[in-house]
Amino acid sequence: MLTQQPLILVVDDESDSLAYLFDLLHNEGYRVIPTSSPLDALELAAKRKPGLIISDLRMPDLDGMELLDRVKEISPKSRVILLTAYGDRDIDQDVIRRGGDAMLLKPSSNDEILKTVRKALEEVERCSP
Amino acid sequence: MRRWHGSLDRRPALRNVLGALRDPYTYDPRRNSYTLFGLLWGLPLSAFSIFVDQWVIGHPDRLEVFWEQPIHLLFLLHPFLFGIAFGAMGTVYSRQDRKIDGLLEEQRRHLDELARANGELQKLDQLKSQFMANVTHELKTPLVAIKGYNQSILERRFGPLTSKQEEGLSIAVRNVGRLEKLIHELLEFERIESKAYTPLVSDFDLVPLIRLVMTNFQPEVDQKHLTAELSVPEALLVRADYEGVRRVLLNLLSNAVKFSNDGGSFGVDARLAPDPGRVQVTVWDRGPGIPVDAGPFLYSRFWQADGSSRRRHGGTGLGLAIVKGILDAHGLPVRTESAPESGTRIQFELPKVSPPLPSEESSHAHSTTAHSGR
Repeated sequence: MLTQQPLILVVDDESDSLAYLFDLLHNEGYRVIPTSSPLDALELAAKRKPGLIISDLRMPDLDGMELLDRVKEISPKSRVILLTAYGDRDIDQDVIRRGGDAMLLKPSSNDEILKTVRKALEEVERCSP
Repeated sequence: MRRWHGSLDRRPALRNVLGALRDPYTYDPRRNSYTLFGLLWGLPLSAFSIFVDQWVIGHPDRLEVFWEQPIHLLFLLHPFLFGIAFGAMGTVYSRQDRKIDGLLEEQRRHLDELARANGELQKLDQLKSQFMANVTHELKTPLVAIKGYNQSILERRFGPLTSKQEEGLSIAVRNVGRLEKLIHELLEFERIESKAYTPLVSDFDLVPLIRLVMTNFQPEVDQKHLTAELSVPEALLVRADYEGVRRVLLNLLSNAVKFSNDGGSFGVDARLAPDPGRVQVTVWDRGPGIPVDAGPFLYSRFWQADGSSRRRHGGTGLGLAIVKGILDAHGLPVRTESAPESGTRIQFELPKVSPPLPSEESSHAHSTTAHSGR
């Protein structure tokens, strides 16, 4: 059986930020699904079980933290990276406690984002049978 | 509770009394009751005086003497004299009371006004914090795409570049970084100002941190041909918030570099303080110094020694306010020494961590062995 590359789900209500993240990851050769709606993201997470979800923290309908909680219920193996414009250690720790992988401060550099994504995907591979 | 301790104003008593009687503001209807009280007291006194008078002249039964010698009628003035005296006293007394009441009332009104104004200010401050948080968030959001795409293109992720394109893009990226730094500074200041910052205290070696922060300024140091002087011992273990101390050093060094003249020198001095248990850190420069009259404003937000439109140095004016905020949260003081044209020295202290003495360790080990041996 051919091992397929894990799927990355990118969630951001800001279409330009979403486009940038998609372009960056797609350009690196990852399989990426972008969505601007956190509710759609939940549906996609349930259906496609992505290896990694990258989400904005502040979004209408459902914020990143809630999304993280819900994802951990419907697709516990999915890794989650949150992005925020507020740098706060309290939020950092909260993300880790709720089972998230990392918190990236917006705007992060390309290298920083790719490094974090690579690390999270390594975890996915390590955990998958 | 109310007690009259003599006249409030030290005017002569008579003028005080006359003033009180005339003063419509302090006029008190109770004054009439004082007068009536005087009149009532005067009546028996009149009767008593007349009786004594009659007895003395030896004709207690002859009232005709009054008509024969009308001077004796003066005794009948007693009630009126008492009425006037008590009325005046009552007026003066109640006037003092009313004055005190009036002053207290005024005071209360002012306090209420102050409390209301304070409440409004607090509400405004909250709104401002919220506003700042929203604004910085909104400012950062477009930066994601601007910085990201520029960087991606510069890193040739989307294809080759000409050298001119590369040069232009690196300038754009550098300036995005500058903008990002400013926004970050605003956000950080807001967090300190709204007391949302609490130091996460740990033990760490200050020396590598100072060296690390120094390297951040290498580009500016090279550009302005500055000499950076570092005077630190091998290691200095301190107990503080690592990230907070890093911000303090970053802000102080940023100022030192910014205000140093081309070819000048600046530096960091870290050593054990004269006060045992403390480490003393001094960041200095030989720049223009801080004007003498600037003292009180130095650590206030948005303030810059030269706030004019022709000022030479940019920045938000938040650097020292952030420094002070972080050190305040640690309960640590910060001192400034500055003379115009001869530079600035800013000094703060951090709690020292003494490494456990070997003898202590061995005695501890000894006691443990003794315990386990039993």
